[in-house]
Amino acid sequence: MRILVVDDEQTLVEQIRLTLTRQNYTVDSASDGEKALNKIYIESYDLILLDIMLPKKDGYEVLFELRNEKDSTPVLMLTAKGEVEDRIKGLDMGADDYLAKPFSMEELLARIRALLRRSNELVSPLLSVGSIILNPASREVFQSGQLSDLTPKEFSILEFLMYNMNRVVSRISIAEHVWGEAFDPWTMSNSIDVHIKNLRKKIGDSRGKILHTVRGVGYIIKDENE
Amino acid sequence: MNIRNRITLWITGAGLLAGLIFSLIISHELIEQPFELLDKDLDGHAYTLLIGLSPQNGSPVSASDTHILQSLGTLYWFNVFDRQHNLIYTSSMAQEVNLQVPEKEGRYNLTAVIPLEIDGVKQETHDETPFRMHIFMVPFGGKNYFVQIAKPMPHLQEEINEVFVAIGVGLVAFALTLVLFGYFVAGKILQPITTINMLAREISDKTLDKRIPLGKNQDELYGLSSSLNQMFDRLQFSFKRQKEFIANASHELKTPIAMQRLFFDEAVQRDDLSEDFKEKLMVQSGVTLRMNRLVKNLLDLSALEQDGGFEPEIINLSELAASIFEEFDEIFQAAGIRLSLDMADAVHLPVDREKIQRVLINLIDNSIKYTLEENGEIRFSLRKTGTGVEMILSNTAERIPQKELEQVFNQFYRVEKSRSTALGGSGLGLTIVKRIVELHHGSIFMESEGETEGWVHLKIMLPAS
Repeated sequence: MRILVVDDEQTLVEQIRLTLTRQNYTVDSASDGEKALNKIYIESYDLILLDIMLPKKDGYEVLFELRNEKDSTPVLMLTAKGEVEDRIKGLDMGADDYLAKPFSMEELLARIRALLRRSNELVSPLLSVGSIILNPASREVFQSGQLSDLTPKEFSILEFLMYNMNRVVSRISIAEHVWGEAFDPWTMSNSIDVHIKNLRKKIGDSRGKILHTVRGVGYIIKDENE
Repeated sequence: MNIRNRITLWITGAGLLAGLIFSLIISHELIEQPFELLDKDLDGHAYTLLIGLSPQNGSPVSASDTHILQSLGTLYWFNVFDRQHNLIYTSSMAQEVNLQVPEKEGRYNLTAVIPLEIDGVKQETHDETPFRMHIFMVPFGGKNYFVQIAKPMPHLQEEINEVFVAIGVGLVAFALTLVLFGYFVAGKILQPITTINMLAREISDKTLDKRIPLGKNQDELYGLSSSLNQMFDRLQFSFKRQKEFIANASHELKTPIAMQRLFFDEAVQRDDLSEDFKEKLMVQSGVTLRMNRLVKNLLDLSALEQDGGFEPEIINLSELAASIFEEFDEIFQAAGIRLSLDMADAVHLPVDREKIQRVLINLIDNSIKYTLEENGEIRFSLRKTGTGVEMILSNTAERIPQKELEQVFNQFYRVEKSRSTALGGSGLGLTIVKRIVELHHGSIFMESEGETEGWVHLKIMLPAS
């Protein structure tokens, strides 16, 4: 999952980047509102962490433009402590949740997971399909109760596919959500097939019964119980 | 020749010409002067000796006259004739020195050898000595006498030479002074221009808001400075317009591209469309993605051109490079490209992490696209040098002609037009790389070896500070 961190406080951004990267999230950052909007339109994000006090364009303006363009990417607002009006204003403008500074990184991660769940219309904190269970909090994948040893990239790909359950996702789309902005998704999509092959082996799905190939388009994980 | 030297030359030339004319007039006067004096002297003595001569027979009137005439005779060469051209008196010098006397009246410069033993003439050699002679008719005491009187000028030539030498030395000293003075004055005149030049040079495309400070005097240089400043105003304006245009155009493209991509994403979810059609949609989606990438690179490049937002921190380049190559592992596998890394451990350097990461990714991306399909191989080396860090990324590739090597960093330049379009490059990857390397005050260049196929090397030097 790919997350954009919008904050002009460089040390905080680096702290968040470190925490999120450890959690296998792909992180881009923007130091002002204008850069943030440029990235939001050009890149594909699963979630945006948005500070209110920003140079050039503040968080409210970014939020307004975003929702005005019918972009529904979940937004987690970062506000100063005690500013109730800010939170109300932000939520009313289309933010999905807020976090008052200073916050603990654990809480940030929990809120991110909750938001990703909600925005993908999931109820359970665990993602599961067939005999496969993925725990986004512990970053563990179980296949028939057995822990699968996935590389960070394999985990990210599986996580993205499971969050987008029942949707066809293109190789390029996977590449976009798994690698940061510096990488050209066109180039990186060439490695997706190799990753998928390895991934299928590790989750006991060599024949593609869970992780289906859609010819000429990409991949899909279908929830067979539906 | 620079202007300072030219001004020096002009000042020296003009001064020297004036000095030369002045010297010519002076020397002419100086050379004429002794002859005029001599002529007066000769005329005076002619009368003196006529006073001493008796009008009857031409012999000295008194004993003192004889003495005067004798002593005059040792210093002057003279003959006195009466109206019938009978010689009535001749000086002792005239008897001993044989002068070729012209017949007509007038003033002459003659030469003759004076015997060494003659008194009164300071003679050192047997060379010919110049004489000044006046031949004229002198009316005296009611009679007319024909007088030939001359005086030897043994040191005249030396005196004249001395004058010329003095003038020559004076002119040389004058010229030297002029050169020094001219050089100094030229420097003084040009000083403000040098200052303006220095200030103008400081104004680059990154510091276009700077201006040359105007002096108090509204002179020619004030005019030059303000003209230059006006030019910078116009330049800055058009630069700004151009950058704004790129940023605005990119902005305008973002939203429609995002909408299209959304449309493609949704369309492939539909069950009522055929597989073939969905495949075609994906191809179109790829085209849209390319446009998206182009807009992204344009925006990034224009941000880099504007301020760059350069934030260096000391990082471990070896670690960064290793982690980036890891991301490409599966691609090398899939494309059958062999990779060899030759990296020194822990190469630390103050760089902008995000930007250097971009450099490495763009370069690797680029070399993957252009590596030979058969015998695909990529090599990367990273090492410290005396002045900083050197990175070389090499890949097997078709030979790139020398003149194209210089252009690969230009915007939208593609070595192989057909192939790169299919490969999905935006044509800005290497331009962005070069700009970032420049922000780090580093240098980058590309080399190509082999006849038709061989290695292409991309070398980057980053300075330590």
